[in-house]
Amino acid sequence: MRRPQDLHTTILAVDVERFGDPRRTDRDRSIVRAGLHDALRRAMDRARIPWGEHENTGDGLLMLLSGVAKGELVSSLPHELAAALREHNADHNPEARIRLRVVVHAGEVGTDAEGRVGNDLNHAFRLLDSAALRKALADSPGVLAVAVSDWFHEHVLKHQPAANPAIYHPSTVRKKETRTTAWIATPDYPTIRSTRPKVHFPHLRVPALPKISLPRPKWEPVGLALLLCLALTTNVLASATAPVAACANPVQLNVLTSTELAPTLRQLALEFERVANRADDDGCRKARVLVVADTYSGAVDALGRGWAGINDARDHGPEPHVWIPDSSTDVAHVTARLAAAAGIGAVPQPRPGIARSPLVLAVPPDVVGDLRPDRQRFDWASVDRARDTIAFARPDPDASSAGMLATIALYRHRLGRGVLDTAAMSDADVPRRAHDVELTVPATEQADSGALLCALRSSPGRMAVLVSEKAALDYNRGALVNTPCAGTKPDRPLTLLYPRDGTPVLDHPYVVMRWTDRPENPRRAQVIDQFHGYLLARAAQETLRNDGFRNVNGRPGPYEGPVQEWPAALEVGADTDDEAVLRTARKARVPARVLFAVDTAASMSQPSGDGTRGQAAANAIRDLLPLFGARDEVGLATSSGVVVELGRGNSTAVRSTLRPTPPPSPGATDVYGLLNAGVDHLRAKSEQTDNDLLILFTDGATANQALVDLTELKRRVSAPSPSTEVLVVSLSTDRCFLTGLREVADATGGWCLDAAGAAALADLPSRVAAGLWRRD
Amino acid sequence: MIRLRYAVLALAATAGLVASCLDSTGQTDDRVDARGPITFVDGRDNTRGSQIKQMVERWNNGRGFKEQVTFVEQSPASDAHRASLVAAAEDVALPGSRSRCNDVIMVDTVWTAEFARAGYLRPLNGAEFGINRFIESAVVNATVDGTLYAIPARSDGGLIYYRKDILDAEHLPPPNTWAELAGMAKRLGRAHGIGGYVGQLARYEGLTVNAMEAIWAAGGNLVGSDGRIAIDSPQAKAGVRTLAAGLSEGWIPRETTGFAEEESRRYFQEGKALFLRNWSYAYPLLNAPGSPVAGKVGVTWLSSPSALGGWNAAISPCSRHQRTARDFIRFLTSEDEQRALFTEGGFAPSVKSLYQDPMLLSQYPHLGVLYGSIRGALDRVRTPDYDRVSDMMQESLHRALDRVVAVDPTMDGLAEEMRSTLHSG
Repeated sequence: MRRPQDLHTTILAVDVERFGDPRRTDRDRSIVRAGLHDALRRAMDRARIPWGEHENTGDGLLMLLSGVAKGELVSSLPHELAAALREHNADHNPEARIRLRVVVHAGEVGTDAEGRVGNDLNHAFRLLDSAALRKALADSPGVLAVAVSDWFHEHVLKHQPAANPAIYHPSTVRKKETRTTAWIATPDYPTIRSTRPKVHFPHLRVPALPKISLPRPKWEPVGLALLLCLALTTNVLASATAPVAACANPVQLNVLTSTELAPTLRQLALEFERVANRADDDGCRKARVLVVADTYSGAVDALGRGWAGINDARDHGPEPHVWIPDSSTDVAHVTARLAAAAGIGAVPQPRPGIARSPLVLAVPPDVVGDLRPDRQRFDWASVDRARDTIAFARPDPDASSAGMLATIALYRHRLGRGVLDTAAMSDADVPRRAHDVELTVPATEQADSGALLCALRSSPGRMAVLVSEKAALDYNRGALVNTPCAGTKPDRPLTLLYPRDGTPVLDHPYVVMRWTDRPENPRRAQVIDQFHGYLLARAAQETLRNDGFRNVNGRPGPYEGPVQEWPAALEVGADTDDEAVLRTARKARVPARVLFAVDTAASMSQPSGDGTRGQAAANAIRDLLPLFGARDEVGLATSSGVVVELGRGNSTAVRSTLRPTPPPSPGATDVYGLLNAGVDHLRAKSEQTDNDLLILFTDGATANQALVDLTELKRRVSAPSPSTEVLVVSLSTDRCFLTGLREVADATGGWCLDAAGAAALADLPSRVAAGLWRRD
Repeated sequence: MIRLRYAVLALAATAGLVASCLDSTGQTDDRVDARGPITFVDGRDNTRGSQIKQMVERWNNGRGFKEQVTFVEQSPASDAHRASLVAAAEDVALPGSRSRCNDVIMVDTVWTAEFARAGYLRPLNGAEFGINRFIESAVVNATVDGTLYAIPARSDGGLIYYRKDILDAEHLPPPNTWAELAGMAKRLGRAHGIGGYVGQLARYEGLTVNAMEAIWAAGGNLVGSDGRIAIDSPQAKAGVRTLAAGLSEGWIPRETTGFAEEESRRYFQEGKALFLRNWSYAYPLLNAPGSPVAGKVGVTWLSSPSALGGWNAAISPCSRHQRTARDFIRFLTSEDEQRALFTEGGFAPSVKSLYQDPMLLSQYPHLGVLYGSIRGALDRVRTPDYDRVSDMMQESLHRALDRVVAVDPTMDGLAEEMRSTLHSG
């Protein structure tokens, strides 16, 4: 490897921008290193430049080439390299993407014990590290900035029309006492100034101007216009107190966002700071942006009480000036909370969203057929049809807006309602249907879309998840940030299905938070406008698209596989009672423990309706069983004792025990004894919850009040913490009152139903469900 | 005329001159001597048994309702803590603002200068707090442009933890200079099959700390005595080159370039390194029962300066009850409270006398070394643009560490970048 001293060599040095950025993990860095190597090799192959002697430099690469056509290094290589880098970047998440600084120089390079040496090598490294080259790359939306040394410019570049020498601008690079010129270009975006991302001023506020009186009134408009111009171009008036000599402290902008948007937004905030700092050429920093992520209910809770909780700053971060939630539903929810509590000084002012992402059903390819058997697009009803063959799941509405919107969409379909307003959500049947949604498409505790997808990967099978399109695309690209799944592509990418009857769209609104206990901070207001403008401008929109979001016009980013152009949107509706939806969903997923107690005294064989009282009880229980799923516990007791122990998945056992109807129990205890025994069985198990229920079916024939201390029974049964609710279904006329069972049931928070005819039992499932899963 | 006065005041405020203005007109500001309820803003109280809350309760029990202190916790992430304080200071200063004032705030030593110059801190009279009681280097940190703005409340300095069992077996005293440390790390690490030295070389604030300590050890500094950027001086380069050489020669394991405090502590605790640079919090953890190196760890510091760490207590200009605020700061920096916060909460005291307390010294043998380290500690950077400076250093240095030959040009580039972007005037 030892080379003779001082051989004239072409030096190619490249450095990855922000290689050490803390958002890159070690895995990202190794992807970047490998990607750089691949891209360079590909580009050199295509440019027909032989691969030279090279050395890794940590965040870049140094290559020494002798005997190559120097012209190729500036004519074809930059374009091939840019193309190869774009290919790499299209396949990787932001943390693993590459932008390069490139230096081309030629000179004498020797070797000593420590490695390569020589002034020309040092010169190349200086150019590589120069502020001018860094700035050129920072200013470019492209992937490449090239600096060519003065020597190389003079002897090679100038004579290569193919290299388009006109795009290279001279720049002074200082080193110690001397200065040298480097020729810098961004070959993939050759006209730097015109393509540099601009800061837009969509809602530019013009500060109040001092009233001026001029001798001739007709000059006043002219003077005002001049002042206005001055204000717009120099910002003198907007930051009236900015001192001339020193910089004012940069204004602090605190941004609250979702866990899903946070990684991209952090990157965009850094870029914005750079762009904003350049907007005026005084070199002063304009803004410092902090991005904090929170869950759906974390943000709604803290904002809904005006960030006034004593621990809100500790648990949720600093009071936000801008809130970018995943959807407008979040904003409506907070607005409703604020309206419900008078005197909270917070006003959310939503502005147009910065990105979009529809809710999709992500499924393994082999499951797609079950969901659209007719090869048509799938709809919400297909979920119900496939509930027995596919394990569906959705994110937790407390954790993410995607979970909340999935809940709203499923409820709307199940309840057959166009809008989930307060009236719709108070319907008696809501708890039953809401719990059934939890049986069909359960919410995964504390999971947002990304966490849900990552969990799915470790439990492959016939799964289907309702998630944001952005998270599903990240999953397929192996770019699920903040999860253990980051960095590796799945073996089987998921297919994205869009409900043909409409799917909710996450619209990522830009919400300015106004706090009424203080006036608007004019400097911050300006930064807030600029940041919004920046996020809507092309460069940021491209970043969002590359990260799996759709841009504001609904255009998806560059992906492998089919992504629907624009699915039918399901409008959530401003009248949605988000509070009721969230509370219903929280309650509906609490597992129930239910013991059916059937009085089997001889009198239960007496006729009732088409059959006997015993048969009526068995039929009623059979109608109730579909309410319960795999996480609920059910059991059955008769006057003879416990027949089916309480346990998960015991519905089948209960059903088969009831066919035929349990025989009469000779010499059995009275109904009070059955009630006592049932409560004891519920309480005997350690896993008692606050969702325990005893449902007693009786005709009250064995109820002899003279033999029981009703007060004592009531006290025992209604003992608190955790309480056991008692529901009594009386299958003989007026027994609720006569047996005192109504009094006992009422004391536990339950009820007694006189249901002598079958018609009275029709709405029993809804009533039982309401007892278990109603909103508090 | 009144308008003009406001305008002048506003101008002065942003220029960071509000302090001196208020000083000279202090008598007319009745808030300075007023007593009343105040808020106390600190980071999340993560101590076992919530020691900071207990401290506030002790005050409230003694002072009663009229001078009640409300403890407001901030995020445990220090960037969020800082952002919250800055935004509150910006807003409360607006005319007509009724937002809450953070009366007494805890400020990281690395933001103190920035906060003071921005006008977020009320100047203080050192004599009122017995300022001579405090460690000098911490007082220097809290003094900006000749004015005292904060009272040191928790101090910290770098410590070199070493494997006493190995050095004893070799009949070697702990190193006193970087060169001695490097020599031992190179020789003994290899001989015992473990890493020589680990610190915090990941790309974050810790890298600035470690690099500055190496630069100081070589006689360099960020800015020279003339106030000009000197990060490209031969001494500064030599300091960074020591770290880069350590990595290339292998006595600093490569993993260290991904280490923050906790990763480096764990590496050392697992017995994989001879030396560890860390803060005082590591001491009880390394010696905790169950730690593989418990009882085998010695603590020292080098003859060169360490980077000062810690937190200062300060008063916001918006405070309407500044007498109570000052009393409360005196209370929380009193010897009794500092002792309790050290023994129960693990916070290194800022009061000198505790470092000479025979009782404490017998229970906490590292206290003497810690005192030496803090007393000799230097501020990393004293500039209102600290986070930006630190950011530039981290980006450049992390790259420079990969190649010894890249150090010189990288430091030249860094100096150039600093000169062209900083207002170091």
